[in-house]
Amino acid sequence: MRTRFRHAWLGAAGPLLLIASSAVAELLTTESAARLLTGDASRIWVHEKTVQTMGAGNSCVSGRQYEFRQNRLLDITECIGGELRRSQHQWSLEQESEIDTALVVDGAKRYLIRFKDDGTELRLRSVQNAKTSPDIDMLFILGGD
Amino acid sequence: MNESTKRRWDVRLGIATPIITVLGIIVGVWQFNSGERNKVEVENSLVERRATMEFERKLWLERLEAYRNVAKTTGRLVASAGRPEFDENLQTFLSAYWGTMIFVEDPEVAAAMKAFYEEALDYRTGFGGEQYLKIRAAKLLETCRSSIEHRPPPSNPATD
Repeated sequence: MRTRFRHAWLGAAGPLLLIASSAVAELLTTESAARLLTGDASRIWVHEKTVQTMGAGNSCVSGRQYEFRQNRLLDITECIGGELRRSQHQWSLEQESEIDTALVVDGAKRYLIRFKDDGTELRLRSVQNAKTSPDIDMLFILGGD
Repeated sequence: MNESTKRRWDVRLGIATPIITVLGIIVGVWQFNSGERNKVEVENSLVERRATMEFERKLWLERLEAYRNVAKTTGRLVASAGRPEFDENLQTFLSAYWGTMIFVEDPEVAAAMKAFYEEALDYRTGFGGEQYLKIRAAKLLETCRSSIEHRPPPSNPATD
């Protein structure tokens, strides 16, 4: 069996990274976060790299990726039970405080959103206020535009 | 009133007088005991209230001292951003985070402590910058101040 890594991040994205980097240096706003999430039209963010088996069809070994579109649609592709499944959701951003921007998926799930220095890594955090309850982070890397 | 009626009344009064006297003594003793019992209860309740207030006052002073230490540690941590002592200051903050603060903090301060600690980790891993750290520090100290202001110390029991 041969595996194929669908993980073409940072292809020819040098100029984009420069723009992203300057955006991240400032405080994140809903506008700058949306720009980083979607790029010009849409961007793929890889949570777990997708590993597909050879041949036709949707068979896979593992993987999960999010594609954020400018039209506020979010496509989630996940490998579930050896098969790639796609689901479509809606996303929006809300400014919770000067430094906290929240990503809201389907009007229900709420994550605090942060980008790493150069804008190529994304973190979605489910916040728990109690000290003894850990926050749950999902880390993504930019898969491409 | 004839003689026999008068004698009957004398006999009746002779019987009733000691009974009334004894009843009066019993009621007096009961009243005295009841008053003493109430007095002891009031004194016990006052002592208990003073002890509670004294404990709350000590706890408030502990809280004030702990918040002051957190303010110092937070300031040192933010000031050391980008310098080698940052990690050491983060450890000092962590000691307060899992130590004295748990004993004295209220839920708002606990949440602000957690948010600041996570911001410090984000600063280290590149998910946040110095500006984020400063704003989060200011929020933490504002929360501490607000907690102190909104929960003043109980009045001194000695003046009650």
